[in-house]
Amino acid sequence: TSTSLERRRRRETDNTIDFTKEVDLDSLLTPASGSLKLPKSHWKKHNRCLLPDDYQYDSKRLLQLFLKPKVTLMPYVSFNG
Amino acid sequence: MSALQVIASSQNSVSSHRKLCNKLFALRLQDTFLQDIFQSINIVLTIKKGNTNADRVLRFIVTFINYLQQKDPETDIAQPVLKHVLKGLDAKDKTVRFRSCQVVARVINSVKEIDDDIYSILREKLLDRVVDREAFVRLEAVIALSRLQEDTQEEENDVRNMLLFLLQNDPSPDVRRAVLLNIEVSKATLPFILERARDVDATNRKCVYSKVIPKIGDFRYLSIKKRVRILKWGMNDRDDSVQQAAANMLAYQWIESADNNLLELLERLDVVQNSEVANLAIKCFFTTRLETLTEIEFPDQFWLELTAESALLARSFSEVCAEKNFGELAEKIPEVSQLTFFIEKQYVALRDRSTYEEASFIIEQLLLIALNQDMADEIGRRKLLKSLTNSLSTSLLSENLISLHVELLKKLCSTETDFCSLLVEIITDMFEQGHLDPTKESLEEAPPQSSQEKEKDTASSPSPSNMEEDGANEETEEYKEAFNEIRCLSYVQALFENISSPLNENLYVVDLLKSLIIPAVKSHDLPIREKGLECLSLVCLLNSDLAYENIALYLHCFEKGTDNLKIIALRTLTDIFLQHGKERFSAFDEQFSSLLLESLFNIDEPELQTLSAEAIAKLLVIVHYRDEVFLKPLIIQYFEPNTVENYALRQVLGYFFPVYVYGLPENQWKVVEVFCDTLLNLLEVYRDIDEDDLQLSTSQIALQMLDWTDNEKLFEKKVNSESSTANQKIHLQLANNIFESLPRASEGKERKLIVSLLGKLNIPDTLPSEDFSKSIRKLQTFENYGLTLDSSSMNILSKFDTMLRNKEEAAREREEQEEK
Repeated sequence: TSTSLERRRRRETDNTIDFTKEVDLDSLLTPASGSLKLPKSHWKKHNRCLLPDDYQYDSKRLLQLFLKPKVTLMPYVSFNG
Repeated sequence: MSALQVIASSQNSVSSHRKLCNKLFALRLQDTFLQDIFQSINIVLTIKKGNTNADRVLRFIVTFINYLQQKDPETDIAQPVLKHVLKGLDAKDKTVRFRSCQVVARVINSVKEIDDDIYSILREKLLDRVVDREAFVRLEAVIALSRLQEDTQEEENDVRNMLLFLLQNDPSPDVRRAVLLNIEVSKATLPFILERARDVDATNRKCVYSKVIPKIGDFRYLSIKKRVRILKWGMNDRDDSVQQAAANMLAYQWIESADNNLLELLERLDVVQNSEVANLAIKCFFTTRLETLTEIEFPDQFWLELTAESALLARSFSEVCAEKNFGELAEKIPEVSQLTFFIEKQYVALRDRSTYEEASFIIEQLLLIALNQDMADEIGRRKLLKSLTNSLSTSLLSENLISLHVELLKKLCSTETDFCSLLVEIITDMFEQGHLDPTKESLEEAPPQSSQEKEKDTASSPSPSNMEEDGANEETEEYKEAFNEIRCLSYVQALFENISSPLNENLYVVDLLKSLIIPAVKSHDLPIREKGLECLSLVCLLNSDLAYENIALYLHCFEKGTDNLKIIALRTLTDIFLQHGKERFSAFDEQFSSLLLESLFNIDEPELQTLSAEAIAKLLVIVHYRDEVFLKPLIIQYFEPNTVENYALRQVLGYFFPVYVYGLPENQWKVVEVFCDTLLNLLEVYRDIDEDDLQLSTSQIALQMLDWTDNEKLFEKKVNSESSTANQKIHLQLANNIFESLPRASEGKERKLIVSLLGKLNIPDTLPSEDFSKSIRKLQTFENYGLTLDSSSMNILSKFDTMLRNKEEAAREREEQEEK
């Protein structure tokens, strides 16, 4: 449609950089007054961004007997639910 | 044309860059040349992230710098450019910081020499920038800083230490990935790099396998422990793309470092110690490169000269064929008669102390292969049966081998009765010999090959671990007797694990119970007593009368026993309820439940805590055992901050809840019944905890619990669209429960949280008007209490009220229509 085309064109023109414009270097390079650092509380303190060990729990393990792992039981289903 | 104009025209397409380089080069002697370059960079510094034109301009500038260095090494603009953007590195504006870091990252490689002053300023500033408050600034800063890595062995390496810190702690996965891809691989950094194979971000994990490890080259630079760990993580990853990357690394890269030879690869994995990972890896290899399955051959010589590696290779092959139903390929494995011959060859090696361990391992693989084989050939079947029987009577087998032998025997016997009589005979013989003639044995003595000669066997030989000691004679009689008893009990245990017919039909089994199991249970020797109890547990699973008689015994074991006995008792009691149904044992409900709950809340014993969570999960899913008692504590322990480190418990319950709540409509009602009570309880638990220390907020918990009551997610609904009416009323009921619980919620944050849940309920229009009227009355009652509420909560309540009234009216109209 024309609107999406228009939008695309606008995005393209948006990207064009005007190299003739004046740049106020002083204001551009003004150093920050406060701290620029990420506050301490934002760093991940827990578990080094690692997944925990995977115990690979699955339906097979949920439905088997502890003592006879080869035996799988089916959930008892009542039909009045 | 000015230099600035040339640079400006580089923004539209990369294809013109070569031509523009020439143009710009021609202008290099102009007075304003350097000024123009700075000006173009200044402009780029103002352009926000994501503008592709700016990226093209920067690319052009770098291309030009390199071009200039080749054509005219005297004119250096790299260092002036670098110096020019230094000031931008700590500008107030985040875009300027971002672009400055980007310029440094790209230009610095082209700088041939750098002033010490500039270098140290740059280094300091970048060390600050990599901890910038903006993740996109940190990312470019990391790339820039990584160019300053120096290869020193010293511990004090600021740049490296900072990069390692970021690798482990940066909250942005993109920043961690930038470090992962740019940090130099060295002895010091390798453990940190490999650890990323378990990064919480899947793309980062994948990167380790597809980009970083290939960069290391030969996998033999990694220790065996590291190789195994990397493989295990990759092959078991829950994300398919990571698994695939790991498989490709193994199947195309590692194999090349092993001379394209699977056996050589296996030799580098210490298969005896790591058989499960090695098996998984080889199976992955085969499925990644299916052509290798067709190409591989197993000539007779292969089976005659088996090693741990080749035996495992054959087993992995056999398992892949069985899992993927490659019947034709499976024919590369010898038939049962021949396989038996090869197994027997290993039994001989089992007699020699120096080959015992490897032979044991090989036999294990061969038996696993045999389990996959078709037993149609009667002659082969008999041969194998005889051979296994013989080995059980005469060889010293590890627990693992005993259970494999017995499992395979079960497969070979045509009826359970045959199987039992065969094993009972073996066990009885072994038991009697252990008692009759405990001193007569010698390890070097060849065990007899035929069953007729069994009498003078090695049934009471020392255990494998004792073979290291020379002084087999020094052992006391008592020790030998105890050892023989444990060995007999291991056989008994393996037997019972493989039968399922009720006890009273099986006279052999009753005999074993009296002569072996009961005396063991009464033994003063703890290992014997434990083994005896484990055997008794299995017998209890075959007969509910026996189970009933022994429940008190197991309850006692739990109360008074060692940790190990507690575990045995908990498992046994759970299995008894699961196997025989809960009705029969209701007399023990109180005791059993309090035992389970006591363990569930025992934070000092995480293993027991997990076991009880798993036991309750099984009991709820399989036999609906006292949901009303267990559901609330189970939810609480799942979210309780003090179980956050108990990953096993969290994972068991994380698997259980969806199965339970979406598996059966009535289970969702049970959650609704305990919902408010449980949530109020959790809010209390969380009240005094600092938000920063939490992985989950209370509102996340509430939403998770709410999700469990979503009737759209019932499995039944997904499978069968006709059951679309299941649990339609559930959220209306939950709303009623929420009204009732409001006075109990503490004022402020907690009450607000509970009210906010009302806005997320899904209440269909199709319910009868009477249901809406009831809820409206309920809501009124509680409004009349005059609860203190904040304005947004009041708003939610009044909106909810309006919604109910509208639905009530519509329902009434509909009902009137229907009556007509």
